[in-house]
Amino acid sequence: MADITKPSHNISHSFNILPDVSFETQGPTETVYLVLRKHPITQIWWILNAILLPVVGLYVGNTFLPQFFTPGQLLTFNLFLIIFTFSYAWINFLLWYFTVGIITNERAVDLDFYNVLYKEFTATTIKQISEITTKIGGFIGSLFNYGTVFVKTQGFEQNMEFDLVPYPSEVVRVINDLQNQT
Amino acid sequence: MEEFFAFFNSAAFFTLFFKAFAVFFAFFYLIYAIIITRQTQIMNKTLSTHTGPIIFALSFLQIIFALLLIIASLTLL
Repeated sequence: MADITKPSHNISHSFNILPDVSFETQGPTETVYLVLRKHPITQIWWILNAILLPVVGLYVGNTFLPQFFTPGQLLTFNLFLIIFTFSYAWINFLLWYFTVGIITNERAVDLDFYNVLYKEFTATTIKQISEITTKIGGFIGSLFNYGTVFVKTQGFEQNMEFDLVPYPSEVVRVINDLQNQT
Repeated sequence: MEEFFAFFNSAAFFTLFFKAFAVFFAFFYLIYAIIITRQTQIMNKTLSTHTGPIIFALSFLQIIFALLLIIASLTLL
């Protein structure tokens, strides 16, 4: 059970308790209790792509292409491949790193970056939260203990969800604790 | 006229074609790198963490990579 009185985080920094972070609209009396990111296992596809693309590309490029291209052209091809792969991995990392769910003592905040140019910021006060649902789906989700937390609010306020976050039941417990404190 | 058509079948034309594409993509990559760096600044402002400067530096590194690609495209080809 997570202790929300001491700062801690898991190895991938996807479940951070009392982290040293602040966000744009944070109030002066607001304390960040929880910062959630998607479980790293959900990022496995782009990580595998980023590993396999240069390996396969460099192998093919340096095995079959030398008969058609000059050494200068091959070197340029290899440079392009490595740099584009770095960019691909980096943009995916940025999207993972900055797409967060934040629980403070006053609010629940969902910050989504769908791509680099489009962001969505949703926030609701802890008091307005009326219902919290978790959904852990499939074999992988159960094995690695991650799932989606749906936060429903009273009336016509915006609902929010923290997608594929680790320890969803702990997230619910922390929100309930904070609700009881306020 | 025959010399003109012969140029299109020559290795020189292929090299020029390769170079033009490489420079074109390198310039596009430079624009992309500038946008990513700017967006990283905005993301860092939206969510400030202690690793913010490192993340910005890595994004900025892409601009250097893009310049490297432009130089490589112009000189190596």
